Amino acid sequence: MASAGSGDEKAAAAAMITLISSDNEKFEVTEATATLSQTIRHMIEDGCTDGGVPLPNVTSKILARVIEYCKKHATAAAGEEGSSSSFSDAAFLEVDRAFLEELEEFDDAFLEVDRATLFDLILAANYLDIKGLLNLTCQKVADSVKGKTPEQIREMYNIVNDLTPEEEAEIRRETQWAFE
Amino acid sequence: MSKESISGGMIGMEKSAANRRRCPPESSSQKSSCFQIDTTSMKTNSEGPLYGETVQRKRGSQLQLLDLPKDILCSIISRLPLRDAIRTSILSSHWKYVWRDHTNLTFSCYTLKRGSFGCVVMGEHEFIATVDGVLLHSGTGVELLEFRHPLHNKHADHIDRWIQFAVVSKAKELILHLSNASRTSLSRNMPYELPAQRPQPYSFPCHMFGASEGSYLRCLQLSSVSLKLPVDFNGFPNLKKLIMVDVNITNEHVEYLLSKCSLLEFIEIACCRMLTTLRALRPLSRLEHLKVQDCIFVEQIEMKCGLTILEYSGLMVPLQFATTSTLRNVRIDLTSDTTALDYITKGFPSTLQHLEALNLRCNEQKRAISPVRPLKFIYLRHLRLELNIFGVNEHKKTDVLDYAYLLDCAPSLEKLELHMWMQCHHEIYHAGHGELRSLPLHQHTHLKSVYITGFFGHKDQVELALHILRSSIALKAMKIDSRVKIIPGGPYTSPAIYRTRHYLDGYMVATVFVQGADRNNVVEVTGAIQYSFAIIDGRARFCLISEPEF
Repeated sequence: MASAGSGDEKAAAAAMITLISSDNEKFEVTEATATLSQTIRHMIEDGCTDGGVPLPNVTSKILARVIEYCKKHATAAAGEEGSSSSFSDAAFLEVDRAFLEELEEFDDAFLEVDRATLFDLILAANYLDIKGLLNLTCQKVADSVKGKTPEQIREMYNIVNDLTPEEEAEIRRETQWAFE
Repeated sequence: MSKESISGGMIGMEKSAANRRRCPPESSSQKSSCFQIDTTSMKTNSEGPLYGETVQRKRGSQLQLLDLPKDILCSIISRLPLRDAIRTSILSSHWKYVWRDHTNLTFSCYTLKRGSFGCVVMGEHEFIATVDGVLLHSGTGVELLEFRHPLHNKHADHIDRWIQFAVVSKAKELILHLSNASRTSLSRNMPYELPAQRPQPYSFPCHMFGASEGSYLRCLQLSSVSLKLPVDFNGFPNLKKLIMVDVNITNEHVEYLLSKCSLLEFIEIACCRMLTTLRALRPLSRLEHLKVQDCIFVEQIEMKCGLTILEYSGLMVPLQFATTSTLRNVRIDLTSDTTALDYITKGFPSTLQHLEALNLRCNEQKRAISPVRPLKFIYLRHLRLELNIFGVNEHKKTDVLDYAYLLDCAPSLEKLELHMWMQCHHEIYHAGHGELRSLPLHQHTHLKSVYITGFFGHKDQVELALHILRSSIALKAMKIDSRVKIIPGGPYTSPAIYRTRHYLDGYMVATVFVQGADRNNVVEVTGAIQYSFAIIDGRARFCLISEPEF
């Protein structure tokens, strides 16, 4: 399935797709970039992308960032599919490693956004079904929670503790080991 | 409290997410209609609380974590170690049950205890009680169930229940790792460890997976268990990945198991002491990657498959596959004494004309016998050799210069790594040693990168390095390190002071004779730090200190 997909991409590399944000801004992208989104890929396969693809859930600000991500990763997509089955010895494939490192650096820089933007990116990635971006952004949120105390998490994400001391004590008792 | 009440106003979003999830990517007819429904309803916003609308309504205030669709929240929580996930239950009443949708239930002391740099200890009973407690609260959407703790057959009642949970929750991935021994210690100690000293391993209950239950499993990883298949074993019809490490299983049961898992793409079998023959006579047409490691009694491997990647370590045994024309990457660690050159030109690799990458580790006791017919690996681009070169006293029977032949064999070679450990009489090359031999030079037009380690400065090493340097017209970098990078099975016994001498000698010889002959500035020598260099009375004086080990 993977090889067939990338073959199609190559054949249609020149084809351009117009994406229209919720605030009616138009973005022209290559098909290879657009098809990182499974949602758009399916629309292309169904031949319903003429006249542009309206994306009523994504603002131009967010869409621009999503496209930035897709452009970078579209070139990597073919390589990523193959890399899962390469040697465990990383030194053996130094070229791939350098490339993956570069991609990682890009991802790290890409995630340097405020919390609201991060949530918007998550929603866009979910709506457009871009697995890599969804994984990346969800991981970012998870990492921000990892190892933090409940108080720290509440403060970070504006969570109001509405549990009574009794309720809280009961929850703690249920899974006591996690709070030791 | 039901799960609906947790998500509050998000039920609509849940629905749309579920809709999208429900249409399988495989069926194209369903998929298209499903997506059309999705987009039209979102455009018109006529159908009530679709998540586009929900999100926009909340735009006024700042988007909160709990405003994210439930499946996303579930995806986020599933990326946390269980301990962190469970600790979110006291954030607020909304968060009380969020962790229960955790899809990756990984139970090990590292995910359950506060991480304090690896020194976490957990008793058997504590582990079992914790697992039981968590599974009691977990839902059915589990993707991965992983148990890592040294447990044995006496805990079978508990483990059986966990496996039953895996069956009921339709987990896609099951990892059962019932030993705390590392892979290296398993492969190293096993020949000496008497079976009687080990507690009886847990017997994996294959019978629990009925015809339909077994079909959910995509990945099964078993370690330190025993496996016997029932006569009416249904198989794992959708299993793609099978890993068995230190599993007590017989030849017949492996063959039976493989015959019932026809969609396998990856198989790893390691440290299985009962195996003598690894056989799959029913075709495994999807199998791409086979890894067989340290099954010390295996004498034969015969499989009906066309692999892309093969990794093997152990004795040199017959390897038979339905076809070898698909093999691209091969990694072989031979524990028996065979020279790499012999093995490449006459052994299994010689049948692999389409090979692109070869990683080979061999013990060299004697010189290779010159091949009769010229052999060409016309696609080979990466070659990595690890050579343990032995010799008693001064009677070294090996000759590293023989490896110059590989340049002729592999005209497309771009990257060559040669990691040596010269376990023989140490004699560095010097001017009084006789002239350096040179072989006829055939221009090699593709080799760009060469990495040599364990360069002690022996005459044949110098000759090989010079041969590669002179024949490779496209060479961009040749890195020579005098330090030994490959540590073979046993501990590196020679004292540090002895090693240091080898390293300094190798560094010096490489600098003078190889780097000295380099006209294109491609050679880089490492392994020692040179802090002074002077020519006194026409002779080179080095002041070197060794670099730390790799």
